[in-house]
Amino acid sequence: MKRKLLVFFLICIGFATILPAQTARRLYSVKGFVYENETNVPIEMALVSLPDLNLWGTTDAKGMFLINRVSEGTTKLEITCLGYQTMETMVKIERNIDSLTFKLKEENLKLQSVTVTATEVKSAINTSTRMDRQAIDHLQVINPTDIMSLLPGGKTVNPNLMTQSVFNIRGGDGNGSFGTAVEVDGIRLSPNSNLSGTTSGVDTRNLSASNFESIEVITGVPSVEYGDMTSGLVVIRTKKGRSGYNVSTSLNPTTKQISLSKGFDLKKDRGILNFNTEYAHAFQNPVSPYTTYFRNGYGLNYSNTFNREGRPVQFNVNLGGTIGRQDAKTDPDAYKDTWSLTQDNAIRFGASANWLINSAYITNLDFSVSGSYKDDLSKNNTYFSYATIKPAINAMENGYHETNYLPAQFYNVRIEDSKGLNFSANIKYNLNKRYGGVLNKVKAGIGWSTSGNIGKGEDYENNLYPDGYRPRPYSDIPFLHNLNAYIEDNITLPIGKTTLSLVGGVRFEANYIKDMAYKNPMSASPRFNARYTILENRGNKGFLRNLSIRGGWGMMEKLPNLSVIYPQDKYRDIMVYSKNYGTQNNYFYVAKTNVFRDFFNPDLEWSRSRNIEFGIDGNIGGIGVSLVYYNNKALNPYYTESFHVPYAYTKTDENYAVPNNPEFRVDKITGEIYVRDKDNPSLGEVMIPKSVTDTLFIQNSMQANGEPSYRQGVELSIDFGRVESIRTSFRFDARYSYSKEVSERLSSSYSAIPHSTIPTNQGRSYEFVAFYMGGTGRNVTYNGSWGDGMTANFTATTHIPEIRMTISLRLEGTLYARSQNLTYYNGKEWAYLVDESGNRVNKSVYDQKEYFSGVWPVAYMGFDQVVKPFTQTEANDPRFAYLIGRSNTIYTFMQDGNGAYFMSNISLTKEIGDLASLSFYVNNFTKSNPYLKSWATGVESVRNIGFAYGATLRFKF
Amino acid sequence: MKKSLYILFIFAFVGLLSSCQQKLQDLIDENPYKTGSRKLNINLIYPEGFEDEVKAGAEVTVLNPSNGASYNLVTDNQGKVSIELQYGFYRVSVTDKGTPVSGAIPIFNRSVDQIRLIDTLKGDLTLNIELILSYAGQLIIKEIYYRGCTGPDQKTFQYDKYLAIYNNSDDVAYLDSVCFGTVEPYNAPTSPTAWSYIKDGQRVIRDTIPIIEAVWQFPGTGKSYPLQPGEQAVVAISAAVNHTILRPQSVNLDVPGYWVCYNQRYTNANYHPSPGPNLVGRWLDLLWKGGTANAYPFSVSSPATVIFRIPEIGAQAYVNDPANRSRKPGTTSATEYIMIPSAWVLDGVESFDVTTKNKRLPASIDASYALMESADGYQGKTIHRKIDPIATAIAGGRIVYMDTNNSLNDFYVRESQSIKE
Repeated sequence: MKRKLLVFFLICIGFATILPAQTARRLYSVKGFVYENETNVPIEMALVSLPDLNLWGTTDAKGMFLINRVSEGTTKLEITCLGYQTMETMVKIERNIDSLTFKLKEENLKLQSVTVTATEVKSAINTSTRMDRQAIDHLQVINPTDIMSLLPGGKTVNPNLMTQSVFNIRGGDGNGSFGTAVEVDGIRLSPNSNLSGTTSGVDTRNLSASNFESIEVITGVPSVEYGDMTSGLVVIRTKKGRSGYNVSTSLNPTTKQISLSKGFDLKKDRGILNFNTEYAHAFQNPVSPYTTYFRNGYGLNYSNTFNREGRPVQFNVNLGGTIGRQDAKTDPDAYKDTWSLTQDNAIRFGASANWLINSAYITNLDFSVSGSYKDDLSKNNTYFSYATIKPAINAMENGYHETNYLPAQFYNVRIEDSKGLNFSANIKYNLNKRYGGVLNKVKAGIGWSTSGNIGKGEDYENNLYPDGYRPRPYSDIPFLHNLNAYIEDNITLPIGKTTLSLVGGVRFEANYIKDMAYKNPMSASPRFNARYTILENRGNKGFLRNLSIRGGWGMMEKLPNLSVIYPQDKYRDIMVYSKNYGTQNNYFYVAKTNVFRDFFNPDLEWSRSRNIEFGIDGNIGGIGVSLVYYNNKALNPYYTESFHVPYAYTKTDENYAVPNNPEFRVDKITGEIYVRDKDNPSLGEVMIPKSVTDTLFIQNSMQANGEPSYRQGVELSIDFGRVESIRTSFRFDARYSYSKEVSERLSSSYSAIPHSTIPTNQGRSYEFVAFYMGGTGRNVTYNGSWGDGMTANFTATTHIPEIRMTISLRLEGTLYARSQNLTYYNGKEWAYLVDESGNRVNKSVYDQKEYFSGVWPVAYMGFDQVVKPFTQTEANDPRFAYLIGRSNTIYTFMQDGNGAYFMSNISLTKEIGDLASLSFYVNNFTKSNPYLKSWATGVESVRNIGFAYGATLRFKF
Repeated sequence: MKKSLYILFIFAFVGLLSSCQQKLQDLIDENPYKTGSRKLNINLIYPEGFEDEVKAGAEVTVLNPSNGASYNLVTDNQGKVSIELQYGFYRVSVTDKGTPVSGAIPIFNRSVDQIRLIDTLKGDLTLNIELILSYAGQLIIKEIYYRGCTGPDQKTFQYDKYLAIYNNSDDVAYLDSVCFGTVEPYNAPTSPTAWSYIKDGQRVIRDTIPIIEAVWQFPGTGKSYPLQPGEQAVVAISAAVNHTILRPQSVNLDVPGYWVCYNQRYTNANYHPSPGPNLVGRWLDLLWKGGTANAYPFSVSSPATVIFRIPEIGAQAYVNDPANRSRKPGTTSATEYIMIPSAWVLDGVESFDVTTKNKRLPASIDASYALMESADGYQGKTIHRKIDPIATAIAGGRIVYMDTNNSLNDFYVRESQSIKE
């Protein structure tokens, strides 16, 4: 399969390159000037591009741009510059053009039309939603994830810097937010080198939102240029270009933020230097402001275009980072001398060069390198106070060992040091060719990226290691290397008055980590998209003005976290002897340790997702409509699988009297403990008798792939356009989403309860391991669930250019949400109904509130490690009674959900002259907090966010 | 014109959907705190066979838990008493001793909660209280130390809990096979316990009590561990070591003759470090362990402690039989409890930290509760039985403690642990 794809695309390229030999195209040059609209001052470093041909040029100090070797025909021309409204127009090229003149309008509220909501990027082949600076300013973004409320059906979240801010697109994949990727100026922020927590997406809390120029959320089936993600990509671009000083300050009851930025023009075509810095301070509780978070962000960007007259090179170097800190040091309410401290520092570096060669075989070549370093340090000083000396088992070998000891009362500092490093280097090749009406773009690239962690991991000061601690420096884990290559062809064919665009590509990935032999290190992800434009730009009259349908299918892959692919040794400890001797509470402890070395799963596959998207975009009578259906199947999410093995250990009799001044000796293999009386050494060594030999099951785990899960949904957005007489534009967006997952995978479970028949006092452990299906257990009787829900938002934005004010009112509603637990095994219901006394009732478990539900384990295993099915015989045997699960509630399989609830937000932005602008927002300003009754349990709860407000003041000079 | 209607409509729509909505209160507020009063007529009904015990002088206590007002009344020779009370919710407790019969003293007890004297009542409220019979026993719980103490590092400490069992009679008693446990829930509940039901308008607690988490049992074959009259047995519930080394306000539980609830199934080294060398061979047997907890929980605020004996069939067989276990009614948990008929209980003490809590033990075991408030917590204070002066005089010097199966009468808060002296 992979070979066939490769051959197909090689043919495509061949086709694309042979063709020019057959048709001699006429090439012309396009030259012009760009000025400011009101003052006629030339604009430097404006980017003038012909996006369909992938040709571009930048203006110099005199505002002049030059693009050479443009093929004949009519094509789109776009001019963008920081601080000005983007201009799009069509240009007809049939000879050398010398004197095009463009006037750009400044971007402020004096413009007739202002966009403060998200907009769908019409030219994209997949679903792409973009939020520009005006929308980001109006929304008063402090945390980058705040913009998710502008997506169709998005819900507003009150800004809060005290919790992690993680992007999660379309419900994520089987691992939640881990599959959503975030990129800032081409530098990927990767959670792969994070070893301290669970698999979750990257925390964007430390990005300075005041420096964002635009945020684009790409969902659906993106181009093969993007890898290492399964649900979608968030592309953040920061400000680049000449600008005056921008100072802004934001306030809300728990957060203060102030930022400064400027774009310096280095004159004489030496380029532009952008500088920005930001300080934000947030605290949890205004009454006790001792737990705080603060971030200091800084950024420096240099961009310039070289060799403008020949083959221009757009060069960009970016350096940025944050210093963030969360401190609970001097809280007077905490126990004396205890404190906790978290430091979160990051540096990002990126350099890219875009070389417009524009020859017969190469249009553009892009080179980029980037690196990021994230330093997380957390320290906690805690006070511990116990009755007596405590044991701390830190042994690293199998066998019986004397433990280490912790004092009865002490302070201990726990340090967690993580230093994540990521590097990547990429080369991208691009060839655009036009043959009559047919436009063919070929994109290919190769890249290399690596991630690792050079931190010390978990450590303790003063050598006071807690029970169970074993050192595992993160620097012992080798770096994960990834090599990727991709090729994509994008062909646009005019068919009569319609246009058909086809995109097809494949991405190859190979992953390597030292000393690990995974069987499936290489994979291919093909992706296809098609867009059929039936009508385009029929002007401002008529009923049906624009109509296009599009669809896509693709595979996406997400690399695992380092902790998933490089597992650590696991230790299982059991105390076998503890003795209090003498008169001063002296203790002697012995424990038995079992080590599971380096257990990894060679069959582990990388998490993949199969995404399908289908959409219709159109403009009906002036109303823009966009309807998208998506269907994502997460194929093999990362999952921790556990298994149990029997383990025998011998305890020694603690009731045996030992002398007051004893000396102990432990035999590592047999566990025999000998004691000698130091006051009477002539008596020699006595073996303390053993008490009981017990067998139980101990658990080990390994990384595996979980069961697939499905997510589907429909996103609708309707843009009613602007009603001139009331200067208001309306927008409606809604989202329906559905997800389902059922797992028939067996997982083993064991509880260390006493033996089923031997009396408890003899100290023997339970003899059976149960294999339950997909999440069921003693208390849980369902192994799957489905859920759906619909949210809708209606936004009315009034923009009055004469007074330079925009005010928007947003009505947010959840129309309904439903969910239900499922029980499923081999096509039938697995859980059954039981009444209060445990008798089985013969009815379907679904949608009833009279009885509890019960579930059997699918199989069981004893110390002989033979897995046997669990049948009625076992169900009748009281020894297995503990394994049979029963739900805690009678509404486990009832359909749950809640009805509709609404709230509204209001925000306002007013420019005061050219110098200042003020924004103010209130979330849930009507304090609508209706109690919603859950359909299954009857419990009522409030779902809307609380009343919140804030303001931002900006100065430009 | 049309467009402004549009706007009006939109704003009205928005306003309607997101207006301040509050949950409608459709319960009529019963306000017992309006002023006014009603008469409460109390009528005592003695159990079958003891009808001739009706006498004057039976003690009736009426308490308003929310403001602490309490009235001590005595009945007339018909067993009736009346009182005029302000509106409110009251608790009535009765304790009466009967004439001794074949060496045992019968005790008549009852406690009724939530008696509503409210303004919607028409006329007086008549309350018929059916008294429950129990006997004053041989082995009693003399002292429980559960509130903990504070160490010199200003940290609270509660791993030094203990219980003292005392032989209150003039015959030798044997500790063999005596069981010890606590009743569900660990802490006194703020609403009536799920193990109770309403009968004739009064809340009745079930006669079989649920023992939570574990049943401990004294070892022995029958007469291995005698307890002489006037002697006590101290059982350390957590750590049986000398705590006074690190915390002078605590106690030394590493004393020969003490017992300890220690079993290697409880692996939590904070709660259960290995007992001191003087307690070799003095471990209680763990008869039954219900859950997977790694420490034995004993409430630090309000435990309900019972000591009991399982007669005839044998304790091990009794706890192994699933018919003697049940889940909690109206359950939200899969945990099981051992059900013990209250007739098997030798002594039980219900303790509260706040007077407005609800009882777990039926009146036959304990008619009310011993109160130790949180202001008395972590200071080494204990609840200790009061001395019965009359019975002590009769016994000629051997201390006899009060045992009317009513902890409010029988217990007081002692400033420090009695074993420290």
